[in-house]
Amino acid sequence: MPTVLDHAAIRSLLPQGHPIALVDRVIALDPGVSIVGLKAVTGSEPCYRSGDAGAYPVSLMLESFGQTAAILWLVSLGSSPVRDDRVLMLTAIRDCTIEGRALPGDVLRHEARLDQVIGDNVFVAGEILVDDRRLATVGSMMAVMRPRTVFSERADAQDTGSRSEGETP
Amino acid sequence: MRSVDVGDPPFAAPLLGVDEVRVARTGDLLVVHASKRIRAGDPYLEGHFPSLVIYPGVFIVETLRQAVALAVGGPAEVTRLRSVRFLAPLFEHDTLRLEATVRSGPGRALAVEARSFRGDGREAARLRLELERG
Repeated sequence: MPTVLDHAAIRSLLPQGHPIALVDRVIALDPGVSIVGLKAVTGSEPCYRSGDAGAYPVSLMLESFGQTAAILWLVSLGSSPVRDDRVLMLTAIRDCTIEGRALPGDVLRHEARLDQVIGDNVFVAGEILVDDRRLATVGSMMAVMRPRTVFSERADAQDTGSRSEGETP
Repeated sequence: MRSVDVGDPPFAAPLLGVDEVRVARTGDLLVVHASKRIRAGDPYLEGHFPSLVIYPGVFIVETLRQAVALAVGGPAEVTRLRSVRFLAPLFEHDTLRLEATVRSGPGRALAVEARSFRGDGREAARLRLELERG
């Protein structure tokens, strides 16, 4: 399948950094409509550091799906690749069913579609597959995009160890 | 409530999601209280985000999963996320507190409802999940 966005392009779009930039390649992209993204599950990822080679954590499967959907949203917005000034935050998950799991060597295929955009909020849905095996159905996932400056007071507080009230998104 | 020894996660886990967990039984309900301090040095967090640590929402789900697994004394995996709402972000140095109820059945299913809070008392998330015992 053709590569629409390679990992370097994905890294320049998403605010997430290593090792939680969990989309390797985008192989289909219809702006405003749908996306197909891939993430290779590998035994060299931090979740396997303890030596246990079990199923890829559901939390990371869902994070990877969410990031794939975020790419669709960012491309649909025509966002410039200045990733460091934004944070993308998951705000809700609904009606999500886990039917199967992935193991090292599997490639997750996230097929996500944009259901709705309301202001800074996006609603997506879709499926997570490995080959023809469906691992998960995502009924609805909602995310919000915020400029990092919203958290700048908190970021300063992190540096100094003090606390201050910042705006909550 | 009785404390449960945390140890190492028995299965592949992104990070150690629970520092402390306490369990009590009331009728057919298991009540689980857990806490987790947000540390920049935890796995994955250096990228979420670079120069600003926010505990990923999916890791609140992970913390809940690990707390329930510890409470029931064996592996437990997420099978359904009925409704999960993330209400306020958690930053480095904050402590996530989780209060959950776990109802068993049918079969190996576990119905979990939970609320989680930040150190300042603000609600961080509300979760309704189903897990399955291993």
